[in-house]
Amino acid sequence: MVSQTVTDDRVSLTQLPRGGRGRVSGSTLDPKDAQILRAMGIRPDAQLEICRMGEPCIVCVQGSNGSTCRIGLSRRLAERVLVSPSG
Amino acid sequence: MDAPVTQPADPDTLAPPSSIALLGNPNVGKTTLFNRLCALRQKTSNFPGTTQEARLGWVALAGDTETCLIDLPGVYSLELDLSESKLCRRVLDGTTIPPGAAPPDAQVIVVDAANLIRNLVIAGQALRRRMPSLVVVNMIDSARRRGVHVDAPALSECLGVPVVLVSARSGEGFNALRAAMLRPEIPSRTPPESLDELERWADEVYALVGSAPESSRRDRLTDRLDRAFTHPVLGVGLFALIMTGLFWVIFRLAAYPMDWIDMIFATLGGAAESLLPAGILRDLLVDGVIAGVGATLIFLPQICLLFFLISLLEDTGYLARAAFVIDRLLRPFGLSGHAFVPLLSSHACALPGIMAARAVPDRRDRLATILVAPFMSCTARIPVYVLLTTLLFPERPAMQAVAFTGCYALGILAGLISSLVARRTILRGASRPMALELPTYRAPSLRTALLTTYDRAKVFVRKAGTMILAISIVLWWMGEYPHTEPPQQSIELREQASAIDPAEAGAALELTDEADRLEARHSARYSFLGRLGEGLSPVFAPLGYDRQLTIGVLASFAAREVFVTTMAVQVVGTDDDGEGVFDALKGARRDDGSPVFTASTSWSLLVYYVLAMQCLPTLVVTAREAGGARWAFLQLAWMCGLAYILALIVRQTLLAMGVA
Repeated sequence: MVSQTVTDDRVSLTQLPRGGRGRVSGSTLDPKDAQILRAMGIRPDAQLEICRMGEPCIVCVQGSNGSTCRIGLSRRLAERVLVSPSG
Repeated sequence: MDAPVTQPADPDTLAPPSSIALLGNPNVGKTTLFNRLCALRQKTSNFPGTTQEARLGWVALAGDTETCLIDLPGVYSLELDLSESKLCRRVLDGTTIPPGAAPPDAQVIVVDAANLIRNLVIAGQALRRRMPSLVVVNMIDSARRRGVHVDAPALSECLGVPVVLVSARSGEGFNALRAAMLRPEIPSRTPPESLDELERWADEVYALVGSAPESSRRDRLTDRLDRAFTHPVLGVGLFALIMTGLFWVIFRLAAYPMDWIDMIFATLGGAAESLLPAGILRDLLVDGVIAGVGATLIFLPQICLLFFLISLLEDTGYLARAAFVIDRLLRPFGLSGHAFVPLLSSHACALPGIMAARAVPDRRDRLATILVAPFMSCTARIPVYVLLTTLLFPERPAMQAVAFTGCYALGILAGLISSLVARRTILRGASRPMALELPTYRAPSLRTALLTTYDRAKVFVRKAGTMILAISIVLWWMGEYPHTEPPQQSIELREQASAIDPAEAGAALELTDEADRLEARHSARYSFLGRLGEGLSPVFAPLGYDRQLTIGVLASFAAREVFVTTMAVQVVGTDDDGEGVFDALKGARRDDGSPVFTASTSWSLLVYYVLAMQCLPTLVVTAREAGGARWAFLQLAWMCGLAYILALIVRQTLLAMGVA
């Protein structure tokens, strides 16, 4: 489903440290889960930040308008979301 | 391009839409907006063919003509393969309409000002349907505080429909909203169809209409609160603390109005008794209607407080954190964090709880949630818990509270273990993982909480005024008929009383009282209900239940709270001094003079009522929601079997320990 920069630096969302940021650059989710997450804002190129690590974790989806939306994600989903770390 | 020509031009002669669908993402303040528009003019029913709750409200937009608002469930997308999304599509298409509403001739799309990009996606999907529309940008006040600016005219230009900025919380922009609802317009532009393009379109629209501070300033308060509330250990501790506080407040505060209601119905009964001539009408009114309804309405304060406090908690954003933190705890039992809200709702009533289980995305998770939801102590059990804990610990509120909490804990534990058993046997397999939005923390809205409370209270009172009243009358009739000859012993007592010197009226009164009691017991024994109870009492005898309690247990199948009513009607014949229901039941005696409610019987009853499936409507809904009567039968057999076995163990253990 995704997206422009498919690079080698992609990591699973669960590999980001707390406070770590990354851009969504792919996923290995099953299509139904992917649809739901995408509708919730975890869509290609979305900027994510890890607010709480662990199971489940909390991900901040950062809108370009400075808004943040927090989503609680189980590890099974989070580890299938691939991100390109952005420091 | 289609021109918006569906409405006449002159605003003064506009006919308002007869029915408007309200849609949007979850957590955009749709319910607050609905409440502010409709206030008390609303009712809750179901979307036909589903068990999804449908809230309808009425608002006068112009003159006396009322427009019906249909509050759709909050969804992240109209195009998902989830039951809520499908339902929204069907309502917008006019193929599913809740009773009392017309198919919507317009849609109001509510979006969150602070989360505009994501919200624009669903707005685009809705606008593609090309029905008269209005976009409402809500929570404009909090967005403004965060430096977010939304250009309404520009947004209106991009979307091709009118746009209003409002704050449903403060009421800001509502005059403009009401005016705009009079003339929703068919979109003059069509957003793209494919999701990729739609997302790009949303970004582009936002770039034109929104502006925000450069830096994405993190919300420090939310960060700190989340750190505590979602902490694996501290979070669970806080959850336990908050729930304990909730129930403590309910008990503490509800006690006063409960006393008043008890007193009012005792007075009413007394007045009716003294005003009406003796006979069937008086008995029907006093023993059937007043005693029955009074015994149910007494729990209204607790129900109101529960919904009031839960609504406040939900509004703060805490409940989502609770679901998050509970996910960890529920997972080992084969339930998801999504099951938290259905299970919490089941503490009010299993019906909305089982219906709420539709929000659980995974089928096996959902079935497990539906199966165990009725184990949660619903408000219909509260009357029974209150009665039995009061009987077990008279004048000791602290112990009552402990026993009460114990009942809730037992129900939850039984539910969790049952879920585990189900997931290891009939519902084997991996479940859908959690994805749950954690909304921004906010001060709760008193208005929303009060309206929710009012709505729930109305439903409960209606139930008390119809079904429970009918059951009270039927039970009274079954308990009163057929009339039997008074027993020989009471005839003799009356003869003795009449032979006593009028100067010793007290002694005569005692004898006639004793005769009254004997006759009441005699007629109860040979009534229809008495015979039914007699026939089935051997089944319940090992649990310590006599004929009267067996009748109570059987009658509870219509609605559990009927137990107290049944017992009140059964023993009210002995209540000759106008005392309240509790006092009458406290003194209830069997035919042999031994108390009905001994400690071991009360404990066994308490365990039975926590665990047993005794609610016909729940079984009906389970069958419908789970997709087959076999699930309802399984639920019935499992819950009643477990209740019977555990109540038996409790009773026999207490007897073995020498507790009466």
